Amino acid sequence: MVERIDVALHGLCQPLTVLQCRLSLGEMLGTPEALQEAVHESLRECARLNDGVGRMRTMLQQSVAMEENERAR
Amino acid sequence: MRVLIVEDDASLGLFLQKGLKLEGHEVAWVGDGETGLQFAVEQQPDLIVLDLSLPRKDGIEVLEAMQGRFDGTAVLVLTGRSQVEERVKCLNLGADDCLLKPFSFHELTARCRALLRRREQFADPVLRHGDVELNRMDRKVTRHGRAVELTVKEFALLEFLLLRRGRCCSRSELLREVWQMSPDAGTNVVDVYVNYLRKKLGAASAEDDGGYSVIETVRGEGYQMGRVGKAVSRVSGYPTGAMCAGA
Repeated sequence: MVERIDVALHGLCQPLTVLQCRLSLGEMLGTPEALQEAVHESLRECARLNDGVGRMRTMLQQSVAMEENERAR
Repeated sequence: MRVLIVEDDASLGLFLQKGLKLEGHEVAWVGDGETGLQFAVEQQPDLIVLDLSLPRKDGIEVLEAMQGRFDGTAVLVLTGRSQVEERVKCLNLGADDCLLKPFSFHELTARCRALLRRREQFADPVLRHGDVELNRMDRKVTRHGRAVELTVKEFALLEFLLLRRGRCCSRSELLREVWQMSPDAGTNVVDVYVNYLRKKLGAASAEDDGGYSVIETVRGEGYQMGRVGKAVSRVSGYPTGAMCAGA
């Protein structure tokens, strides 16, 4: 489980990096076009983050279900 | 500065390319370790921003292959894994710095600047191209061992051309980088100074140099250092020229 979480966390790092940097760059440039582009690309990264969080949630649910099964036995 | 990004995540790779370009660097991006290594051998960038998780040779394998072969290139490793051992291994393999993802854009650019600064301090101050030598520390130029007296601008122009290691520099680029003038300035100062340089370097040439032009005109493009035999064509030092290739 710990290993799977480690891999999943690693998967979150990519979109989180792009999201953070993209917003910084938009703020740095400051023009309406740059900000709009930053928001547009950041939303795409948010979608990637949501996918990653979804996968982690599924993993957690599976793990909880497995533990409950163990206890029920 | 010429920066090579080796990152398999397209979104991050494209962003890094865009962001570092805005910082004033010439940036190329490749998506796998094998291509990254090949590109590094051919182009000898000033800085490689290297991701560790890569297809076709991961970052560690790239560092192993690079060991001892790229004295003039700084390497900044990007990693999403927090294990200290991994970062220690990278540094032992020749990486200059490691940055843990997720990182801020400001931290990335600050680290890039710091690496390039550090590299400049320890680099060979002599740039060579065939029989031409330019010492950036002593501000002296020789051809065939004979001293060539240059003005400040002539020296800066020759230095810039040498740093490009035989690649073409456009007139607008030379205007911007050497004269800090807008490319639309509408002046022929570049051509005039190239002429001065040719005359001064030509006067110091050996009689048996085969008539090769130290500075060649690239029609419709600009200028580059003339082609010499590979055995004598070598540029060392701390290049800051521009990189032509893109991903």
